Amino acid sequence: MEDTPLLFAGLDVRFMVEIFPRMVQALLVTVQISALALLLGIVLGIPLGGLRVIGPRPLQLLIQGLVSYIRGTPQILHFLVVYFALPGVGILLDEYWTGVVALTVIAVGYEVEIVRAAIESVHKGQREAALAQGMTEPMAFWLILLPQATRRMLPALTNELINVIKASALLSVIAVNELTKVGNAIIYNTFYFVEVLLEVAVLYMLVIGALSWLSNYLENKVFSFGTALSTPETR
Amino acid sequence: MDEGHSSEPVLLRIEHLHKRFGTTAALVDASLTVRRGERVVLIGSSGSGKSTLLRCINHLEVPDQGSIWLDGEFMGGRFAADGRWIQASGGELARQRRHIGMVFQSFNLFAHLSALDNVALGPQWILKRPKALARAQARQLLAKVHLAGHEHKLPAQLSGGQQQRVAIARALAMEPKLMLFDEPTSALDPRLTREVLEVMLELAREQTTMLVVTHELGFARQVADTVGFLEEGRIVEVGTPEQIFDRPQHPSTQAFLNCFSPGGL
Amino acid sequence: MGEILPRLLRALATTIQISVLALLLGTVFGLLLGIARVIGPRLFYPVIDGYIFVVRSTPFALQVYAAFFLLPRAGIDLPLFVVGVLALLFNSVGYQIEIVRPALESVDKEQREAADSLGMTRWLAMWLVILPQAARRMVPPLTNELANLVKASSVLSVIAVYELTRAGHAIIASSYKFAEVLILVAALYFVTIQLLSWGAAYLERRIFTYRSGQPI
Ligand SMILES: Nc1ncnc2c1ncn2[C@@H]1O[C@H](COP(=O)(O)OP(=O)(O)O)[C@@H](O)[C@H]1O
Ligand SMILES: [Mg+2]
Repeated sequence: MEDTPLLFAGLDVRFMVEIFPRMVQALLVTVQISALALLLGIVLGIPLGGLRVIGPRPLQLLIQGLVSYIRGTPQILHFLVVYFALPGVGILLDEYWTGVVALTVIAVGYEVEIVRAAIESVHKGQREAALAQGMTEPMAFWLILLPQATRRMLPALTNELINVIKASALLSVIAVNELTKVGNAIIYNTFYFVEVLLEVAVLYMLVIGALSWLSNYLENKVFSFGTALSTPETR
Repeated sequence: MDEGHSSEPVLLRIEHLHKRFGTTAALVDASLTVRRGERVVLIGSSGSGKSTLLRCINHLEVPDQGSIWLDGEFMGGRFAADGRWIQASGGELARQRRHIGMVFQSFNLFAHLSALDNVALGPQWILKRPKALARAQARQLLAKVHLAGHEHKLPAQLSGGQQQRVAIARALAMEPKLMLFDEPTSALDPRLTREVLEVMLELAREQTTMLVVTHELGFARQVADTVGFLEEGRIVEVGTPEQIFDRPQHPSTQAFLNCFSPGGL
Repeated sequence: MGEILPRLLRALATTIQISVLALLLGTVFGLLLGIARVIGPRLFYPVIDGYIFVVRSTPFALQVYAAFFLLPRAGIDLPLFVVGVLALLFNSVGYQIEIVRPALESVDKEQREAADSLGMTRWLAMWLVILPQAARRMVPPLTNELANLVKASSVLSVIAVYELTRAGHAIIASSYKFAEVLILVAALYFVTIQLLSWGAAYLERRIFTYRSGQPI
């Protein structure tokens, strides 16, 4: 490392190496917070998605309305709503958990639809066979429908993780030390614009590129029955 | 086969069943009794309501009118002391369905489970048997349907005939009082059909109570104690195989059977 | 409420202006690069694909910050509004290429062969035969893209472009009526975006059911 030339294509490489550990740490925060939101989104998305399919009609409409609202308004608005509304109703969270909650809201909007589509894509004969055998509806849901739906969800959930990681960059506005925020902070302190932005961008591309590869792989190789589900790409 | 189930108690009694889908009348005033150990075969052209009849029996379709009575209990509900009909809850319905095994035309094996797990799942989760016991019994049942050695295959790795035999084992695993077969061989080629019919013949020999919808008239003649003919949702003729196949009374039955006889065209 | 709504409506107008500008400019570049990606020299393909990858694999917020930091650094001093439009443009082109390309590729091969047999060059065939037929198919996804741009333009608030989200933020900061403001902002976005996506779905139906359900 000592032998690295200071400049390469006009970039200060030594500086880029120097900040690398901080960048990786920030990337880990980004990935961690996004994965957490994705998981919480699944925990909420499975019952909501299930109710969206087999729940009573008014509840179905309510869930659908919620989904349309989340998907039909800008992500940054969800951050503002969570940021202002949680303290408004007496829930005080630090920036990190405020961010997790906001990202979870965003993730749920897409995961409910992933769960719904996955469940509806399981052949109706599967449910009938389960009921005919003497299972109750909840049993058929847990033992037969959900396990089959889960496989179908994996590629779509991987894509949703990509969306959440991209959305997590918006956390820079509420001072969570994720990748974009840390990059900005270093720029303000050092004015190494190009080096920092390049490094941040490359780190995002590595993670997101790997995840899209994984999603394609899951879709083509692991995924052996039925059709794959798609989830819209957000920015 | 042997005669004389007339002394056996009635296991299934269907009375005046009606079912409509929108404007189509799928079942019109259908009545039928099945005695314990009896083998009943239903025939009729497609769309005549055979599947609907079977599906009404275990309430996959809820009948509009009429009653189904299985071994001393009304399916799908009960009458209160004051004569009101009380709809069965999901749990009660599930309990009633345990006594009725169903084999579907399209097999409907649980796609994510191995053959063994398909058979063991019900006993383990519904009958709450210990896992080891459920699996040991499942193994025996698979052997009984000539599938020893295929325990760990997924449905997608089995032929249609093998899948249907797993489906039969899965239904038998619940030790049902009555087995329903809805065109179990219609999706199979003649060789695979043979495999499945052989298993069904063995069940018939063991005095399993069976209600079978099929177009395999040879099988019907061989195993049935009673044959029923459906047309446009009505059970128009019921009798012994000899009565139905050799001396059909109703013109529709005659016309239907003519389509099967060689040179019938 | 009385004074808030007019301010928000003006900001919504800015949001729509920015989005429409980015969409229209984006369509120009999207068409050029999309066509180049289909019939241009093979040398261009990895470059165009790389550009699409960068756009889609980095957060839009990062792209906005990059425009905000790098343009002045390169000596290009522009009003924030223009910086915002450029950032949105950079992003949208990446997605618009992927609208143009499938549309071009969906035109029957026979059409191209017929043009070839008349002795047209590839570019002339593209201009006279392929593009006019593909254009119809691009309309619904481009309408949808406008809805996406309205959503994405909210991110420009982080560099203080005074569009709807920024305006909402500013009004909250001065009045602290966060509930009223957020509800109004959300409603304005929701209605705008919903109208655009319905429009896209409507156009999709119109175009794809034309003549015996065959897409044309
Ligand atoms: N779920 C359903 N919805 C509407 N119509 C149905 C449904 N199931 C059956 N039918 C109609 O009811 C009639 C009887 O069908 P079915 O019982 O499947 O006949 P079969 O099994 O003898 O071929 C047919 O006309 C069929 O189209
Ligand atoms: Mg049928």
